[in-house]
Amino acid sequence: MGATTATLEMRQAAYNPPWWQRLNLWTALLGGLVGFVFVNWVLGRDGGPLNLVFGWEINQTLVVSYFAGLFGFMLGLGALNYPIMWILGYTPSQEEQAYQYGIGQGWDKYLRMTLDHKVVGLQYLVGIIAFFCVAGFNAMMIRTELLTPNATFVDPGVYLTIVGEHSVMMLMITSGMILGPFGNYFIPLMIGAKRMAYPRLEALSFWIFLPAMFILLSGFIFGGFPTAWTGYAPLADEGRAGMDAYCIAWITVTVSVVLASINILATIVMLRAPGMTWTRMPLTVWSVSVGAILIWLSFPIMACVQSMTLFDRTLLTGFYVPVQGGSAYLYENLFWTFGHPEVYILMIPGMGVMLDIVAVFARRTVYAYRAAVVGMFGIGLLSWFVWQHHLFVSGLTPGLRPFFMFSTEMISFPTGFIFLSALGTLFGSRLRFTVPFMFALAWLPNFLLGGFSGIFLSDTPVDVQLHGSYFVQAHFHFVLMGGTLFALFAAIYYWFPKISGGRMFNSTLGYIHFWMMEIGFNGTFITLAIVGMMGMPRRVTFYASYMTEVNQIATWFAYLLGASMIPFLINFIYSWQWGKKAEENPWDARSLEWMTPTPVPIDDFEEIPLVVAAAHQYGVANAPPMAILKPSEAASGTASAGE
Amino acid sequence: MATNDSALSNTAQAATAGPSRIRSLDDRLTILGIRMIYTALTFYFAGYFFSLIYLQMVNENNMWLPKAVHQPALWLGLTEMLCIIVGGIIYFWGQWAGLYRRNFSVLRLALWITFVLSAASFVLHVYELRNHPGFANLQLGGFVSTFMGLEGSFTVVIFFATLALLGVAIRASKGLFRDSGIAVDAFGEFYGWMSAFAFANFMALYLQPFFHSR
Repeated sequence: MGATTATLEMRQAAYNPPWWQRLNLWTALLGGLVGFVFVNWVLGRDGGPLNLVFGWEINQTLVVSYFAGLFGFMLGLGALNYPIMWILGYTPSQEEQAYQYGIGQGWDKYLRMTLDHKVVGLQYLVGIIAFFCVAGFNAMMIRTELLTPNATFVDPGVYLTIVGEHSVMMLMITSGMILGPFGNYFIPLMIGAKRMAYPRLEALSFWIFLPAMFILLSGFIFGGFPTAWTGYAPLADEGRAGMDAYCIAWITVTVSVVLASINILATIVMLRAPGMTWTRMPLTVWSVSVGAILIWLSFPIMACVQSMTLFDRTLLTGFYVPVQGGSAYLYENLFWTFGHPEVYILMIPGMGVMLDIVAVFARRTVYAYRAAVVGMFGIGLLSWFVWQHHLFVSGLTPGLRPFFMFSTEMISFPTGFIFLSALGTLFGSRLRFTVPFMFALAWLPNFLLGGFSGIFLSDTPVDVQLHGSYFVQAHFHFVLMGGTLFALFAAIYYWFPKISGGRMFNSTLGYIHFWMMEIGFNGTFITLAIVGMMGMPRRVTFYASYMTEVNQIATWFAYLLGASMIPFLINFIYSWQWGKKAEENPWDARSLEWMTPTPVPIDDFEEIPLVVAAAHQYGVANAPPMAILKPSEAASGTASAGE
Repeated sequence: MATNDSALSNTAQAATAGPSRIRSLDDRLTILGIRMIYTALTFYFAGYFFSLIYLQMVNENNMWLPKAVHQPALWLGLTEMLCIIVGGIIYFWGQWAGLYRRNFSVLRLALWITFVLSAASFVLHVYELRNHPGFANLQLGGFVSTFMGLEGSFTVVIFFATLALLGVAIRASKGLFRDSGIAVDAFGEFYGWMSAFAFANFMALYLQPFFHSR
């Protein structure tokens, strides 16, 4: 630990923060609740001031209540302290800053707006796992309902809301699934930086993400929303008050992920260590960059779309109402301009993680490294030119169909580069079948099924036949779960010894988790693809009885998939506390994050390292370590490379 | 934002160069961050401009601009826009004649004038959204919807920009920009973007739809 940090630790120990610097999650929740309740049920009640003076009804009051709740949450968290103090011309002292970084503090720093990127990464990880379990539980309810061809478990209206909550929450959390926990935790370590570019924005991005999830879940209380994740107008304009929760959750998440992506991009562009050239970076860094660029540019469009829906619902404008001069096509076009890049936002970061992990366990230099990078950027670029394939059956001008069919099929080329790189790395190597490698390896066939079914669906005649069927549902689950979720678990197991502060997970439980998930996942979605080919539409509780048995098979596999989280959670919690002590670099990885001590010091590196080789040069004879960790000592001849 | 974190920010350049270099890196980060933020906002507003063009072209049920809708009050739109643009010009003057020549009284004066103009523009926007002179209600077609959406969103941006400007002006009054004026420069870029946007907004909402007769 550097002298600077030690000094700060000593000063921090003597520092007694005032109450407004000790605000945390609990005060934030209280603030959010007070803000929401005060506006919604005190000011906004029937006959209340908002109703009497402004004539506001439920939608207007609810929207303002959500924003009041959000404001209360931020105030209760202390997130507004710094902006207010900045406006008033105040500059925080060193002690205050050290306190905000959580230096020398216990676990309570995880419940506050702490500025250390490792803390933010872990906050994201725990948050994402928790909400993933909630959304997964919704999926189990969906499959339970579909055990029978009639609505027996839940009311059809409630069923639609469950489908919506499941899909929207999954999409929101997978948008930040790699970028949030691993981008924040590991990007500075991987590029040799001592911090993120904007620590306050980084922390803010997580603490905005959290209330967004609560807002989304609150949709249940206000009658739910009938549109599932797409929120199509004009149905959205007519939906119950729960639809407002959907719109505001998207707008809030947009602020969160855009801030996160700006922070990560600026970090990668500006804070790379000397010698960390573009071609020496781990592919995880590249893939997170591409994902961040797509988030930065496409999510604001989604916020715009949802603000239009809110205006329609609360101010009675008519963006999507034809009798008022609006058009539902306006929604569809704008929505999918965001919606298709969103698919790649979810999966591209997983590609980099998979390729890096494959290289580590194959002990081979990443094959066709540059082609893989070009592939990721190619996918990201093409993702902007395919949106109308979602509108093939919506009355799109027939003359445009071939272009969008062709542009969609084109995506298979850059995606092929990723497979080329992965297979080339694996070819002829001696593999180590560890748990993270198993997940990374499974990424390939799982995502391949999603990719192939995607090429199939991009053909207009096929799309017209299968649109809105379970085949489409199976396709995007292969892409998103196969491409993102398997990468997430590969990443969790791979970096577990680092993030847990030096503990190793239990391999047996890890293998059990893997096989349950792999079998459950493929069993569920291959079966659902078959159900789709049999003609079953999405988002229905009633279906023809001849599909009952196939649906039941899918449900049992889905239960297996859901149950696979049990060994994972046990393993995660148990190993974090009582797991065997891990070696400093248990996988013999080359990248910089494994060259730092565990637990990682507050300022990551004692000195900014000097990078002298690429991260992915495995199996290269006499390849030097990636970096000189103490360039000043090396310059004076007292340390060798890698020390 | 990162300017004050130098004790914890021994970045690459920081480790190999002196304190002035530290400021330089943080300054560049601040400028980069502000550019990325207004680029993201541009994509947000691009959605509204798309709606302006799309709904106008489609003219669903001849309801893009029904006869009951009149041109929004030009004096109001013009004043709102001029407040922002003139504020931008004065800010620019404050940067060059004040900050760069280290004449901080000029800087302070320019910042406070810009703040007043920005706040005036905000108040006018709120008045306009509340009373929408030019059309009786918001159900009168695609143009009215786009007008409300675009102006409403821009009003939110002006609100936060005015708050930030207040902070910049107070900090200037306290003499906090003597070492580094990066906050002034960064916010200046943002205000420049806002001025350009105010002009585009005025053209798109107050003039373009009414160029041709109905």
